[in-house]
Amino acid sequence: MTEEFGVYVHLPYCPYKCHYCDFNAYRLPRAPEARREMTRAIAREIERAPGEDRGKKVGSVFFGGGTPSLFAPDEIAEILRAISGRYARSRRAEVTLECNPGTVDLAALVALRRAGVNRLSIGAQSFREETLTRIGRLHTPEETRSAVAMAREAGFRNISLDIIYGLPGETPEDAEESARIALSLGVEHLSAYALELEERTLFGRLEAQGKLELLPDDEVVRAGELVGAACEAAGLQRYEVSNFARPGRRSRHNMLYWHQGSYRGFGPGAHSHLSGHRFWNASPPGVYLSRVAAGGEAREEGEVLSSEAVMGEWVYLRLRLAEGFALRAFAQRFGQSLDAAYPGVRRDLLAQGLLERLPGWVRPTARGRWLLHRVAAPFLA
Amino acid sequence: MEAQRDHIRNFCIIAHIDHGKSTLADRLIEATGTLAAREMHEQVLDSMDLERERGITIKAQAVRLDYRREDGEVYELNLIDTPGHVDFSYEVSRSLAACEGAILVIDAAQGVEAQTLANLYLALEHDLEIIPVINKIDLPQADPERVREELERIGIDPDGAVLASAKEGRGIAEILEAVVDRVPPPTGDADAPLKALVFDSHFDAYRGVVCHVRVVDGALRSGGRIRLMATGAAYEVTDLGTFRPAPTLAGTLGAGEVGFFAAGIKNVRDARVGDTVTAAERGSPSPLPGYRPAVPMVFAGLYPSEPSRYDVLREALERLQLNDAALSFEPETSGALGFGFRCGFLGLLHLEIVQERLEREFDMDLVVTAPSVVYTIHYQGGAVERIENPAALHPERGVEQIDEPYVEATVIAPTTYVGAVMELCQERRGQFKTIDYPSPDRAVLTYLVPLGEIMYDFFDQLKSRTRGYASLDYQLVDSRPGDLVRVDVLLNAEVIDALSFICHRDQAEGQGRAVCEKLREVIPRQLFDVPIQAAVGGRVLARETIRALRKDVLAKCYGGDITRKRKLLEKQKEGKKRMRRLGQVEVPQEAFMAVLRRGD
Repeated sequence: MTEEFGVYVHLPYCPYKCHYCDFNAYRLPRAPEARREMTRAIAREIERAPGEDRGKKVGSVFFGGGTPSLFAPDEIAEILRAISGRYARSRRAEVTLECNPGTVDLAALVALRRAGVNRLSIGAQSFREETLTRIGRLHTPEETRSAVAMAREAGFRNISLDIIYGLPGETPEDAEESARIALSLGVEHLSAYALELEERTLFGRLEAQGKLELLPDDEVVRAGELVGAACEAAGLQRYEVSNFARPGRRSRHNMLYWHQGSYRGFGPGAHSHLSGHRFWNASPPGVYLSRVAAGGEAREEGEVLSSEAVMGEWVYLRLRLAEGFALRAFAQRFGQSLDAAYPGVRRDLLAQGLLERLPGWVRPTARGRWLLHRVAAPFLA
Repeated sequence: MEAQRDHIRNFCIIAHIDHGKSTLADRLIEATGTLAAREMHEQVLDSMDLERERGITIKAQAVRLDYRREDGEVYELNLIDTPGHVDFSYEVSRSLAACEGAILVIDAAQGVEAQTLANLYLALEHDLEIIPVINKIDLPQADPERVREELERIGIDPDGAVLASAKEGRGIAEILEAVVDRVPPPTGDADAPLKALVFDSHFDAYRGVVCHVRVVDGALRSGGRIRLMATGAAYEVTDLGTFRPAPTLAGTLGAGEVGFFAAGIKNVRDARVGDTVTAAERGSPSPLPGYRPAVPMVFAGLYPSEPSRYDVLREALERLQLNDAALSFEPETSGALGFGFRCGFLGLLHLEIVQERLEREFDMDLVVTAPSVVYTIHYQGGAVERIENPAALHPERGVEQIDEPYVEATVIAPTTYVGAVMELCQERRGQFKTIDYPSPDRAVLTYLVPLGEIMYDFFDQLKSRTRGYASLDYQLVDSRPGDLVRVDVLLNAEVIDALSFICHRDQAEGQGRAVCEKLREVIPRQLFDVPIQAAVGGRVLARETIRALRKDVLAKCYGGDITRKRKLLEKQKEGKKRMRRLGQVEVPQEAFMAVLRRGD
């Protein structure tokens, strides 16, 4: 396998903030110049930021946010041009853009397609209108359907939908129903996430006050299993804890993360990983903009992983994959066997029924996948 | 300044907790100029941090006050402080034995309470002159008249009571006058062989054990050779003096005087409270009456959270014991907890204090098992064993009888709560003895109750059922047979010896169930179902199940999440170190105290 390289671009603005979201996202400033200013800063960072990653062959580009679809297609095109200037872009590179229903129209989608975007990740979250209102989304299920339809019309042949299960007020069957509707739209890829409560969000605060009615864990697991079964029935296979795809339609960009590959992130708060060295940009847009204006980059902090940390992380990330990993792959990568590096660990996990009994492979069982952090804990120093 | 014996007064202050004893002591020290006001550290006599924080006196101390009367005569007033908690009643009795008089402090709003009575009776046993002080008269709820009536009913002349507010400094002069006028000067024979009562001792890193003594006969001299009569060991006095309240050296302590000495004694066990000091040669033939070694009543296992800290724990216990003759410890092995110590305490407060000091002063992370009393087991064939740990009971050897310690509990409560108090005492297998009414709206009840029952949140229950109005005091009486059984607790089908407890057969099921429920709450979900059972002799009485953990995974892990999530996982792992692994089950430390909450 040739060494893949990925580029992540963080576009931090949203029209509104959802109740569960703790991403590095901010309401789009009223000033019409805000988007342009951010676009120019990111393009400048891509052009100027120092690093040995210059000239690498890029296999995937991912525009995340925030709501990247708030940006005009020519702004996305400007950033892509900057990327082409810094790197050698593979012709079959996957170029994904996250978008929210209600923020795109056909003309924009056509323009994005022309600019080089070839994959869309659309935030559906739920197909129940009352749920969408409750979680702070400002679009309707109908707008999600029409976003998918318009994307098809614009020529996108690789579309992913995001849904969330375990949302307040929803039963496992409600989540299953949302998944079925999403799948009925014929998408190539589905990400289904269990709701996670983050401290700094409205939901996190409500939960701390005991004001959020949530499913017990056992029911969340059941919801996840119903969603998973619906995906498999529709021909989308699970390939990661929360991700399902038709054959050949896995997210190349995300696979790079789980394979501990190298990538460079641009934009506020974006993270980079260049063979064992992780670093990240300043998160607040204002700080990011002024740093880039002053020095052409906005690096905030970083860490160089110890060899044990690289090894533990490698195992943890691959355990997230449904296929797991070959013992040989570990030995080739680290020059020792897994059992020598972590004596007794695999045997214990097998005995606990958390790993499948496969010759030469390490793969979590279905139960092990729900308890992945217990499975991974012994590998992390 | 050597005072004539008729110018010496030895007295103490006795009170129910929070009635203002320490504040009054501070005011007396201030008023006699023993310490200038600016030197006053609030509540001077309570010198340990813990005492100050908890507002209780753990170790008695003595301070000498030089009091100049209007007429110019100077009196030596020795104020002997006494511990204020029922756990330390033996120490109280020794302090009282060093006095001729006692100031009995009663809160003007609260009135007579259980410890007021218990302490008063102790003082009367020692023939002390009682000076009643009705304190806190500044409080809006103060009702001195009612307190006077209560005093009369308990046999104290209310006309002699001084009205005071130690907080505001009111009544202090009258109290000092009353001490001089009413407390008799010490008697004793200055020419007889030396006899001095050790009423307290503490360990000092530089001087060894410092004994607080009251000289009864003869004189104690710096450089003199002395002998401690309980152990027979002889020493040479290296330092001698009085506390004012800082130690002040003197050449001699004469008959009737109170002070301290050090003699190179290495351990407080060699100079125990209650022992008699005499001359090494031509000493007194008989000791002062009343000595008994402190007997621990409550036992608990103390285990280091990390087995590698066992030696550190032993050293810490040894250090604490230098200063705490009542603390005992023996190595112990638990199937569940590994190597630790079975420690003996005077009571639950004493246990808590030791635990807190180990954690605070020695940075120990401990697992403490639920405390147990001492049971006497009569096995078939006549063998008799005293056990301090329920796990040491061997039912397979054929148990004929189990005896448990009983106390006489005195409860004082408003008459409206008499029903509630009786109900509680009966639930706890108490046998009613007496009821008295010191005033129309207050009742004094005495019950014989198994000490084991008192230990399990009896006091908390008493407080909650009487809205905090009841007070409790108790004293060990004897041991009596009971229909007792050991309840074993099984986690994942394994008996956890550290969780076994002994209780009455009729309560076994209810308490077994309560323990199982408590454990289900405190033990986190594991990767598999964990059955919790309570059983007597293999018969399961109660069962709970901790359902297996189903989900422990973060849904998202993309480029920006990797660092954050790896750190989160590492932190989780750190948290697991604080758990104790019993077989396959991870158990948090508080689980071992679940047995204590079984009465809830």
